Amino acid sequence: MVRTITVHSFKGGTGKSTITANLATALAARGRRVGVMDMDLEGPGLHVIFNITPEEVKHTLNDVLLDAVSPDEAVIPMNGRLGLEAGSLYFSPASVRVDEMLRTLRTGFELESFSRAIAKLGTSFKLDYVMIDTHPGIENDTLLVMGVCDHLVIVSRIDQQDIFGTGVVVDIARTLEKPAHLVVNMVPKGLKASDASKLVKGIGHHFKVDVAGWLPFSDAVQSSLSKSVFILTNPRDAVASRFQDLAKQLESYN
Amino acid sequence: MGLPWIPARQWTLGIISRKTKTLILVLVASLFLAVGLVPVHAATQYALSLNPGRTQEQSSPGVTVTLTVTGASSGQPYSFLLLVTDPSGAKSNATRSTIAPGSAFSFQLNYPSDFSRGSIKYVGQYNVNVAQTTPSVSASVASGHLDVGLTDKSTYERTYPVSIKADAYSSNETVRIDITHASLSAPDFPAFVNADPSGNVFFSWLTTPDLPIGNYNVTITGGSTVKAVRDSQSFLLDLTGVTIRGINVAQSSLMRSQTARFSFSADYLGGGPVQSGFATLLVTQPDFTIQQVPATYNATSARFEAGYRIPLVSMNGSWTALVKANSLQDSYGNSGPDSSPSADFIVTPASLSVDLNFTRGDIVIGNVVAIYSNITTPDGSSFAAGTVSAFVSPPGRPIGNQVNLLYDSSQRKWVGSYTVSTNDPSGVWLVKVSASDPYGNSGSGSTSSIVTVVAPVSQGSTLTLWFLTAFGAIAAGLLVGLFLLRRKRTFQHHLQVDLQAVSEEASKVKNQEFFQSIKEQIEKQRESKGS
Repeated sequence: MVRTITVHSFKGGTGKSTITANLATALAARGRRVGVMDMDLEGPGLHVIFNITPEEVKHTLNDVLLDAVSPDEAVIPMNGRLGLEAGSLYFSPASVRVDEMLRTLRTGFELESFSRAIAKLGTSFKLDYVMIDTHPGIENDTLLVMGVCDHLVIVSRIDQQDIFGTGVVVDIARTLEKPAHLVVNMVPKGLKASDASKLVKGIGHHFKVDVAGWLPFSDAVQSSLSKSVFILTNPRDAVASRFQDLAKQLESYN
Repeated sequence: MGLPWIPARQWTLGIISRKTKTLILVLVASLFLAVGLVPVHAATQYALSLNPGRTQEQSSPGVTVTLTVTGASSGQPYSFLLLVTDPSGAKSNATRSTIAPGSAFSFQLNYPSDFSRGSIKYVGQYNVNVAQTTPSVSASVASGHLDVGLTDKSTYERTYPVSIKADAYSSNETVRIDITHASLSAPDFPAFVNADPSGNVFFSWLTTPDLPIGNYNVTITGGSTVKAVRDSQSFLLDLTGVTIRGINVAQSSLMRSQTARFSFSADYLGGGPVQSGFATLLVTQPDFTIQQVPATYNATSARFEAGYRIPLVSMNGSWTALVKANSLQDSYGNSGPDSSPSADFIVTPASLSVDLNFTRGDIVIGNVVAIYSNITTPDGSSFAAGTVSAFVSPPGRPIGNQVNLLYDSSQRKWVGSYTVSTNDPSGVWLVKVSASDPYGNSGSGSTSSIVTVVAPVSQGSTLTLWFLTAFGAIAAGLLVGLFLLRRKRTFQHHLQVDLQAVSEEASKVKNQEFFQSIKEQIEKQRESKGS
């Protein structure tokens, strides 16, 4: 049965889309069949990381949500593009056209229909995971995406406002009875790994949330400008190794 | 000349001589005289009675036999022969002669003492016949019979003793007594007892409340004596009734919501306590409203017990309790009572217990401070309906600001809120909560808190959590060297996380309709997956 993982952050710029793309790819690289959905309908970006041009997109997630097409018609197989030999990756982009975005947002969608769309995607492509990238903040569509997931990955930086927002999202996830896991991103470079771990654990303990792991601030990641999947372009980088560890951690969740 | 209707020849005969006429007149007069001398009586009637009509074996005290004669000839001698035939066929007799003192008379004899060879030593019917020998002979002018048994009664109620007597056994003879019901021996039977030196057997069997009701048979068998008529008879055992000794109320005065506890004991009519069953108490308010309260027997306390929680809306004043007639029934079908004593107790309004919570420490101007009050009735139940107000009195404001509290059934508390204003000073705040209802139940409670009123800050700083994340303190020379070598940065993180603010922010989201809708849809999905 497909497991749905929503990746969310309270504030923008936390590296959520980067983490989604890299985690999904890491899982696929481990032999898993993974679907990725870009639900950041206001500012989609995964198609940039996956190097998908607007012309290549025939149908988007917006169409699926508007019941214009079935989910599998809005999916782009990524194995060939990414050179994945094991596992599978399928990408379901959101529309980049503003009018379409607005139309989808105005129409809204129901939890049940969205769940069915994910389930159908999972069945059609025999998926092990569907990872959903959301837009930051807490709004109706992000609440909806939280509502359909099996696990919620919360991305935060070590920032006063991020931490505050993390607390809020953890509280909400707890109310919805969704297991939440914290990933602290862009941990300052000057921090020793042991100190960083201690700090991150402290945050997790404070909000009583599971800590999946942390990622250091990486010049290399910044330099990639979100134009590629980092672990594929920099497989020997320490950050790539941490993405692999995070993927292993995700697999351990039921 | 003859009389017109008499023929002449006969008229001739009608000529009677004076002598003959005189003779006729004398005869007629004699006849009238004779008739006048011999009295004309109504028929004589005889009535025989035996008292008692039923008795137990044994000659003493015997039975009184009374013959009553009415319509007798006063002054006439009367003689009678009384004959008694016992169940074995043996006869005993007695004679009595008397002169009727008037038209009615009676006499008494004792059987068996006044009768020759009389005895009461067999079970059965003794037939009595009265014959008259004077003034006229009549073989039977009256008759009757006497019943003799082993027991003093033919019908008993449970818990009463059955007295057994028998006669005509040998001196100190050991006899066997059997009592059976439906061919089964009653408890403790057969019993073996010794006759007294005169051969009389005495035995008493106390029946218990749980014995089967119906026909019983008692038989006595001698160890050596074999009587001409076997000592055996039946008797009936029936249910019995109960009486109530008195009702106790544990408290003479109670507040509403408290439970009045009643207890009483009951006895069987034949004696002995009732030790099982149930009953109904009638608990009556001053306005004669009656509540039926079940009572059950408690084997530990050996009393019937009942409890009744006095409702918050009930009347004040004097209440009574008594056992409803015929409502008590034990485990064996015995029941009662015919009437019951009563007990009184007083009911007063409930005094409510009020506890409250109010914040202490720093409170921010403009913030809403919650007031929680736990209000209970005397029996500890939550007081949930009425009027509850809190009075918040900062220093210098003795009357305080009134806040109405509402009942939150999920928390079982009364809840209200107070918004801190710029006019509220720091210091000792007194908060008092008063509760009441339309029936006169009431109570109050208060608390004081040391409060510091502070101006609001941007992200609140009531809770500060410091995370020490990094450091970099190197001595000047080492630092220079390290800086030249590794260029470490030092970090110092102070992350202040206002958990209260986090919770409030999250609550804003959770209170939104869309969130509630999402939550409900998730729950429905879970339910459908579960089914």
